[in-house]
Amino acid sequence: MADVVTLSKKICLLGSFGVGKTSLVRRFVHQTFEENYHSTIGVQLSQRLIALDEKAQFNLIIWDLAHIEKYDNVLKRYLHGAHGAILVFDVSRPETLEALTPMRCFFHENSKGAPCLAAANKYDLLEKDAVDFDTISRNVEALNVRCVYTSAKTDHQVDMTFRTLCSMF
Amino acid sequence: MELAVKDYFEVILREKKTAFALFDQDLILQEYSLNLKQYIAIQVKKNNPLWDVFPELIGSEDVVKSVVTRKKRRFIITKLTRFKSSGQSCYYHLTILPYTQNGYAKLLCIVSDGTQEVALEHEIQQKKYEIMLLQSTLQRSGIEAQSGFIGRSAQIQSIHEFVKKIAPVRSSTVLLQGESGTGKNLAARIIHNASMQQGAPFVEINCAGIPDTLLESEIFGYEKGAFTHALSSKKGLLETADGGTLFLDEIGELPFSLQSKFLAFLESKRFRRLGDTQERQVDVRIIAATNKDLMKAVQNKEFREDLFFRLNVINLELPPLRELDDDIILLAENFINHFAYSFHKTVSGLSDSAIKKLKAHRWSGNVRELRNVIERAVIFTENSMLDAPDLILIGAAAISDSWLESIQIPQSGISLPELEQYLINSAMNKAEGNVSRAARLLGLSLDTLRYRLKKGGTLS
Repeated sequence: MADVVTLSKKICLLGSFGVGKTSLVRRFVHQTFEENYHSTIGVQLSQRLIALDEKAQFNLIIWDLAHIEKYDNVLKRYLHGAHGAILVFDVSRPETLEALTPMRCFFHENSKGAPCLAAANKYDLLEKDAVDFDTISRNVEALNVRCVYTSAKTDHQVDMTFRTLCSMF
Repeated sequence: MELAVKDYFEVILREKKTAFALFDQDLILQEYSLNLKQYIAIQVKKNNPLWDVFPELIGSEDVVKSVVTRKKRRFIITKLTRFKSSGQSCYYHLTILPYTQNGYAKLLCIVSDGTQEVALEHEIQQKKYEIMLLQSTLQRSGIEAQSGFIGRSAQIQSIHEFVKKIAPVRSSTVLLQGESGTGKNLAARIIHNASMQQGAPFVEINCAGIPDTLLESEIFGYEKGAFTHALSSKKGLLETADGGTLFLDEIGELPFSLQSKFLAFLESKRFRRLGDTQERQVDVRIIAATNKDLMKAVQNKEFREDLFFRLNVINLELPPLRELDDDIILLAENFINHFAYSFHKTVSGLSDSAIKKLKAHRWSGNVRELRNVIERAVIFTENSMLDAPDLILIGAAAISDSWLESIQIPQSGISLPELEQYLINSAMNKAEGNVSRAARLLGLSLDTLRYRLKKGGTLS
């Protein structure tokens, strides 16, 4: 059997507090979900291997970043060398989508144009007519990144989001 | 001797909550302190590559190289944690430094514990974000409240239009009429939210809930010594609502004696506190509500005609729930979401049979009744969707409007006891003589039906 080549990739999850970044990582890495909200401080690191084919796999080093309050050197160090980012927002809180624009700009400035995509999380709420789908679509377009609707709670397209980002490396 | 020194060193590192790992110039692990695994949550072995021990440095290969070659003095990443299945979080700061041993360039990684300092920060941040999340939820429900009643029916749409039109006209008095439980209070709040600035007072008084003798002082306020127990002056609700809205619920119950004083206020927006000689002026929007037929009250001399016309400048009739067709289901689903969230239950909707049951009910208690039915059902259900048996409808069984409308009283009149007897006999036939089942069909208790059957001679 031929050796499998492993390519390590650093992925950052960015987004406002309470949008479900940690929940997405938990779902993707550990297949669990917790209803209670636990805020993240600094960075929580997780890892998961994703097979590309029989000969290659990605070792994803996932940086689950706390809500960004300051665009400073600490944040620059966190983002340094990232191979990609997932910009997460909560479909039921439009302000969390608006907050992604400066985050996206900062990420691009500090990661030499690494790919990123948006995760419209808490999609389970969208199904309950609790959010304005049209407004979200318009604002996502303005963000100029590909958007995947996800739900860490129902495991909707979580795996697919990470795989989509991997396909962009 | 060397081992003894190393033992001391381990103790010192543990005490100082610091760990280290030393890598050679090929970034292969050479030495490490025993307490390292406590922070990085993985087993380490000599000869492990740097990237396995510290995956947080993946992506920073350029920086690591600069440190090893002493182009960079140090590199620090703060507040790191790794997910542990135990749920316990251990925070650390990672510092990488150049190090030379026997003439060889090496890389020293120092891990210092940050759990204690982060714990306090976490506690404060957790509370702060929880509050912000709650505020965001409240803001959303506020926006929903501003946007109006839930529903797609023509009646609800016309309420939306009504609110839009009257919102800019702040000076106009609004009279809300409708059966009990149709949402007059909510309508008043919606009008207030749509027409007033954020933070403007919304003051509510139920005219039927306060004794007649106290109502005047509650609304207009009083001066010290105005009556026996007036030991100090007190603002009335009109003054409290200055710059906002005063909502007078059950205005039909306003004592006749007080109606003229209130009318005088509506005309001039001026009033005097009890026992005061000084006239005061306030800027208040008055919204009044009643479930009474005020016109009839005027005819019966219970309500002043001039006050009725002064209040009735803008009138909104709120429809009873039974006239809202599919909106009943929208409302019910809204209450399900609300109570499921409040009671931490995973109830997500209504089964077909539950929808049928809700639509068939007459809802004499309107939205309030529906809300109570759903609240009870969400508390007690074990299902993920509410089913018909979960919905306990109080009072008579559902009767469709079309069936009731088909009953016509003939010119010659009818005998009510005979009609009652006819219905009892029909129910007994339908229930094939089973008294319990017949009682359920008629919405009566078993004892009541037995009594009526005995009275009619059907049961001995």
